[in-house]
Amino acid sequence: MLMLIWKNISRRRTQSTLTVTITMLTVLVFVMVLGIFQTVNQGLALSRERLGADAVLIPKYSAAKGDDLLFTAMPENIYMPVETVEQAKLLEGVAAMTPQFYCQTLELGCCEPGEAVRIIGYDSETDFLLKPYLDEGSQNGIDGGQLIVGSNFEDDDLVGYNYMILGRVFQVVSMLQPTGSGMDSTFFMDLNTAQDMCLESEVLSQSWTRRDPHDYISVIMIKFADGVDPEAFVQQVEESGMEAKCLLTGETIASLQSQLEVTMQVMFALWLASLLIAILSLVGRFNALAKERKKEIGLLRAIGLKKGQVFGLIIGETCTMALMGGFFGSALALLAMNPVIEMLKDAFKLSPSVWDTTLALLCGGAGVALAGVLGFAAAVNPAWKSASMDPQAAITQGEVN
Amino acid sequence: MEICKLEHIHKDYRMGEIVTPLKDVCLSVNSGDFIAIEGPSGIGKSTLLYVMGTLLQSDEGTYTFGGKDVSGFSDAEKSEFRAKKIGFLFQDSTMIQALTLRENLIFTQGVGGKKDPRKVDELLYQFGLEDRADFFPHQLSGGQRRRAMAARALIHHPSLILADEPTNDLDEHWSEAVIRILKEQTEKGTAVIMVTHNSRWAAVATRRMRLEDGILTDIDEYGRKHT
Repeated sequence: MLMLIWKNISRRRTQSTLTVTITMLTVLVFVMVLGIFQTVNQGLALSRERLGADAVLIPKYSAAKGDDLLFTAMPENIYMPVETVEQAKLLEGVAAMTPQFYCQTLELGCCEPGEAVRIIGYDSETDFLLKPYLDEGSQNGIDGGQLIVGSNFEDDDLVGYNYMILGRVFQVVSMLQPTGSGMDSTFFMDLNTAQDMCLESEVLSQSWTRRDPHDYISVIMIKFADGVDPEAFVQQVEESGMEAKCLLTGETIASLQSQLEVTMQVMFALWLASLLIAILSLVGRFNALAKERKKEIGLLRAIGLKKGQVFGLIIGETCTMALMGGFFGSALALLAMNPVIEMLKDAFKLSPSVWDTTLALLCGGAGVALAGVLGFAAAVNPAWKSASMDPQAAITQGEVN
Repeated sequence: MEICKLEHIHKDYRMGEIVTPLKDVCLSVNSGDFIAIEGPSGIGKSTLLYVMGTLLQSDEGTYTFGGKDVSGFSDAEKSEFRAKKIGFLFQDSTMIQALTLRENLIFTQGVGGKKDPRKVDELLYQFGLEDRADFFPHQLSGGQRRRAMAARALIHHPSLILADEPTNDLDEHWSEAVIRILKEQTEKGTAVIMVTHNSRWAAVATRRMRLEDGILTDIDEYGRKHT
């Protein structure tokens, strides 16, 4: 019986290829939608869970957007007076706060990521954002020649490697664990070192001819004490007269989430439509196949195949083709996922969570399972009708009946 | 030895009006019988073969095979019965399209629970198809397909062969050969029931019968009813 299943598939190449292709395309779309949904959703959850800061203080007249700052590694050159740190200490409801200084690499030498990336100078004494994602050795701070890199730069462990940034050589001392935020695509160095580099670098120093970068910081990350009303905190910042405004990270995430939900709903609806089209075309195909092979099915019954065996034969054929389509569709989708996630990062200003082997296997497995269900669902009715046909009527094709 | 027996078989078709191809058919078939059934086209000869092959259920009457009432068999039991006891040679040359000629024979043999590659080769040779063994049905001529179907009807050593115009599409040489091979089967104890319009081949049978007005009657070599 298995031989007949396989030969029916392999020797009706055009028809089989068509069936496999329809299933493959449906599964391809399904796995991609599922994969994107999973990575984006997990990325959001990770961001919400791991972001650490409840609010960000940025320069009052800065046009920088919260989602750019939090979820992308887009270099933002925004600065406010260093005194803001002292003023922020006076705000009520602050459990922890840490300043950061942003600068960006420009024309980089060897061992560089090859494009402008965000460099953040962080204060290891007050930091509460990086610590949870650092190994123990780097949690106590780094010196001026050391660098911490986000998890997105290389697949391999970069610890111990040297990077040349704006003429300075840095040794990578730690790689952050994936955070699902823009931190994954950022270089971190000591805050003072970042400020020094703005003066030393031929290119960056042109922006600092009249000012000393040591007198400025870019943002202050704030963690609220328990029970703080975020809106009241924003109000407090506004009324304090500081040269800063407050962005709430929760709001930013919620806004992103609602954008993504709409997008995902549209994608899901499109996928449902494609699934419906696939089911209809497969039902049509399997019905046509059953009609075309009516005489042959009558013959099979005449030579002694039982109803269940004929049913099994047709289901076996359709499910084998569907599973083949499912396998190829899943494989193609998994191959395409990495470039798609890269595109999403730009489109959604979001670092989706890591597309790892487990998630890939889960999505691929779901794709193959869907293909099996699709093949079975589309074939069960024609298969049962064929198996239940009166064998004599099938052979004579209604000649007498 | 009696192989099967039809008693007062009645079959109606409802096609706007009621057509009754089998009115009161009685027939006892013994081992080694070669029965030719003649009669005008569309009179119900094929219907009779379908009833005997359990592909069609009669409305009335009893059909026993080896002493068992086949009419009362379940669908699965009928399938098993056909796989082991019946060899069909249909009017149309239907074969499994995805299998080569040899594979068609092996598959049919396998459904009957047998595995005898020598028998496959022997039949291919007997029907002059040894050089077409690996051809697909669509690569065979009408005559070759007809011979292939005859080979398939014999492949699992059935007790009863139901041959519906077995010489259709065949030239003189192969018509003679097929009738001879069927005759040889009866000498080994298999019973053959053959529907034919050709008096020459009917004359080879050990018993000639005519189906007319739903009733099966014995006839002599001139086509006259036995009294």
